[in-house]
Amino acid sequence: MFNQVLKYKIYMQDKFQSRRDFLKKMALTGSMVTLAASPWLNAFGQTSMVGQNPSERVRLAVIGTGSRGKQLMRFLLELKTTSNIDVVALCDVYDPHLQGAAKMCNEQNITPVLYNNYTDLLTKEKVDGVIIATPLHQHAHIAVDCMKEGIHVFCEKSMARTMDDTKAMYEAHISSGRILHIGHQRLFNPVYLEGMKRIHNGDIGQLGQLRAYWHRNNDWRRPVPDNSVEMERFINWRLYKEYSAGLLTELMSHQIQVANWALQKTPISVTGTGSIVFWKDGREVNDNVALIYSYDDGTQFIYDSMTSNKKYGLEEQIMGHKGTIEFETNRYFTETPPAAPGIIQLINDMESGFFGKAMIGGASWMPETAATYNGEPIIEDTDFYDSALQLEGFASYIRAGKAPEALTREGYNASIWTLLGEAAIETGEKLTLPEKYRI
Amino acid sequence: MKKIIITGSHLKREFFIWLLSFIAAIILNIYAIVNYETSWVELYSQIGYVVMISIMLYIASWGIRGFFLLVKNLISKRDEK
Repeated sequence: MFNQVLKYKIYMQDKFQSRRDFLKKMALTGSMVTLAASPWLNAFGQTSMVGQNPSERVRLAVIGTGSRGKQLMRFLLELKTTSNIDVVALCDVYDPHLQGAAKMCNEQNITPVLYNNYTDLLTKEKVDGVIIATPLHQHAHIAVDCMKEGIHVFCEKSMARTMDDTKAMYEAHISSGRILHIGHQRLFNPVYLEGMKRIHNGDIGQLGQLRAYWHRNNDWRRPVPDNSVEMERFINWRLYKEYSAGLLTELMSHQIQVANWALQKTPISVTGTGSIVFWKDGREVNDNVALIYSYDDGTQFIYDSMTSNKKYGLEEQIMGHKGTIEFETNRYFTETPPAAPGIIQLINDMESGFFGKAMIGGASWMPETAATYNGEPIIEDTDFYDSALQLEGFASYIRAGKAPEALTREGYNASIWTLLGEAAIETGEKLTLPEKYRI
Repeated sequence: MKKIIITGSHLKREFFIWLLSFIAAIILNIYAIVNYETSWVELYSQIGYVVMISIMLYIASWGIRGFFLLVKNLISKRDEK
């Protein structure tokens, strides 16, 4: 166990790059243009040092200290000096999570004030921003209350459990003028930034289809203390419709955001299907889903997700008539790959001449399988944590007092279209977005 | 046990045969570059393949020479009878 923790720490240190390390590398590789091309990175991309004065310190509270909340805290604690961040308070209704998070802080000689009720935190603490990493159904009312109190909000995706709650969060952001930053970390990921620059420059040609999938092979359950029936829904909230849309809000919301970002627009309709085909264990959310989102130029975003096979893992494939980008594996494929060396072609032709080709299904038909071509990396250096980079971004926006509106809109549109996808599956109909949810 | 003596002239001959194989492989590479209209950089960038082909040709030459030796021996044995 100790070894595992140590290995994890070493891995974290190896992969961890602060904003300044990252910017230095980007400058060396001539990729600063990539940063300039992304509106939400203007404040983030300034190379000046973050002031270390107490007056410039960003005071943050974390509401929701479960697995994701703790992961974000690890980054915050790594960033506390370079980004002049202070974690001053923690809040969770579940004491084991709260105490675990407090222990993480104590190990770094930080003693945040602990709360079980976020309204107490808002009343007693003066914080600049909050990180919300609670279960999905609690995002909206906490975020709205924080923004009404004048506090900037970083909220994990997806935004909210219902479309009305999602809209309420957006309206609170507009009326309060507070930052509402939704945790779509790919927006800060250099692989995506460089890939999107190429897509938007037309390097991969006209987009025809976008495909994405997220396949896992596990039951998605977390252990419940003493197998208590009362705690089941509390711990495994992702499996119950009251709290979550399952694969859609937990996984797909990231990928529809990537599709919208690539196309620089939102869909016009969605159709889909889903079922519980494998994990018939009392859960309410589907364990496999398939959806098609259509855009006004005829482009389709085709999506599927499942939890009983992981051969294909996770990917977003952006397919243009000149090339393909696969973001998760950091690959770019041109439609006209460079020819093999002449000597190899000669050997292959001689082999074909000697042994002929195997015909399947008739003398004139050959299977149209993809040619073996490994493509090339989109960027070379991938030693970074996009979640850490986006938290640094959030801190820099708080200092500036505002965040680019495009950032909030990306989160909003991803959430709204995710929930509309859920409705399309439930109704079995092709749905368009009701006018009241357009922003 | 019969002793096998490899003389200097044997070595020179084998080296010469491999050299011919290497030249043949280079000619094959040149033919491939012209035929498939690829870059002349491949003259040296694909040198690894050229060396491999030259070794294969050299090994093939053992088979050819062995065959001729066998035929030659059979003919001389028939003439002795």
